[in-house]
Amino acid sequence: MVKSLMVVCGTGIATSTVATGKIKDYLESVGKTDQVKFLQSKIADEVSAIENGDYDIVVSTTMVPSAIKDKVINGVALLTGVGVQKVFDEIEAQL
Amino acid sequence: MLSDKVILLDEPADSDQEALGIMAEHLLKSGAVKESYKPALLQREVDFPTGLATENIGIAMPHTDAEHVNYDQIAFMRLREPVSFLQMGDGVKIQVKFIFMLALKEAHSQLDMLQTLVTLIQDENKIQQLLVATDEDNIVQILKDAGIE
Repeated sequence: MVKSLMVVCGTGIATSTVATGKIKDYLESVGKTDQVKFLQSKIADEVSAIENGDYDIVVSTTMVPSAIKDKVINGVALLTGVGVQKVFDEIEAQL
Repeated sequence: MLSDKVILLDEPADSDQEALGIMAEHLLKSGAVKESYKPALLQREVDFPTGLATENIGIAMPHTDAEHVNYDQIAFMRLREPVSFLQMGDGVKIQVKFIFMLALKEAHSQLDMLQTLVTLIQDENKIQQLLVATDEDNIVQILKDAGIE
């Protein structure tokens, strides 16, 4: 089944775009792109949807309210390169 | 992205907000952004910090909503002394030496450039070049060679 993967940042413009690109590249390299439907937004618009469990996987490059913290993968490593494999592993574990 | 040459080298600033304010003023003067850009950007940095600590250096990538922007542009600042920023995602305090301020007219329109920028900040060799560059044209050339334009 195709999983929905929501990538959020503060504005939905810059960093979520980069993070989405990095995740796509990785999933392509392991042949799993077709298992994921990519979505992008800003955190302010998505808090309740994330809380409701509307998305299968959520990756964030910005700080998220503590209420939804457990449902969100911290994607900052996608930008710094420090510890990036751990992020990919967490995503793959949810596919 | 670099046509306005908003490149500020060895700028003295005591705080993240001061540094960001200086850069936003320059972008306003060049025409790339609207009056509303600076307050929106400063507030956004408080709400959603943009510091990033790579293996080699602390950088920040401040930006705000497209409605405050007239046309795409990147401003660059190399701080004389690093200033504290909070890191994106976890809010950890980090020391930032380079600021890449993004003025983006459209959401999602600049994926290639942004990916190039993220690759650049992870490249120790390029970071070293930016640290020792002596003038604005030098910086623009390094960024262009890295694929940002």
